[in-house]
Amino acid sequence: MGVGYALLETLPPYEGGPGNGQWNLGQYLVARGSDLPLQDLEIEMLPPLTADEPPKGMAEVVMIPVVPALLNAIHDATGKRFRSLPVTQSMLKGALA
Amino acid sequence: MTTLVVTINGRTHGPAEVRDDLSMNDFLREFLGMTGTKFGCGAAQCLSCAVIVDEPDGTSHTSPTCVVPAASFNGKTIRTIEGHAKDGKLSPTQKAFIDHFAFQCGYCTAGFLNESQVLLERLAKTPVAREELEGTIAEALDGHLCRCTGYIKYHEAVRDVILADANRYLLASK
Repeated sequence: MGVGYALLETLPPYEGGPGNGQWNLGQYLVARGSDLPLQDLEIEMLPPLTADEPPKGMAEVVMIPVVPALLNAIHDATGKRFRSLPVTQSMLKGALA
Repeated sequence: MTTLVVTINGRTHGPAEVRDDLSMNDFLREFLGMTGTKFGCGAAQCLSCAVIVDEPDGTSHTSPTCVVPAASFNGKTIRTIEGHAKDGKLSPTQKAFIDHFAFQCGYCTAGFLNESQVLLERLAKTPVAREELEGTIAEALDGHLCRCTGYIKYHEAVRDVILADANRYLLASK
């Protein structure tokens, strides 16, 4: 979800946007497995707080740092600082032109 | 109308008269009550609705059901999510999905499970080298969308199933 928010999801407000109820996955781009560096990812499981309390998920909180991480990586790679989301392929090509 | 006979998970269903515009997804879910097969985007983009099609030549592949008419499955043999567990025992891949927390909402899981099963059966016939395994899994599962777990847990689960039976799925290392 974080990758989609940072790089893929162009979601204009009002009638032209997904709020009109007409969008499907052709327009609303969801990251696929091939959009992710799956072989370089590690999942870290935090230990339980107490022995009788198994660790729980923390839901979408975990997607928050993905966005600045990606935008900082883009800054490191290109020297350009983007301030609106998503940073699409065409924006990157424009910045590098 | 078409008279439909289809074999699902080893059991013959029909003959049933179906409208030509009835999707296979509606046939499974509404006519047969087999709601394990999900309806996602309705545009063959997410593959949450995918089932396994077993061809007469012994090969298998997945097919979306949302945009495919039920009538086009006449005479075919398919498998759905309901067919994986045997006698109340989960398949190794089902167990691995649970052990890896591979899914959260579970909407994409039936599609991933069917695709993984097709991959396992293909590898059992034509094994790949260990160093090609991650890429092979990634390519096989790539059409399926998951919004919850970021794919990696599905991939790790499938990889673990394969590595646990490496003689069967992988080429002997040199």
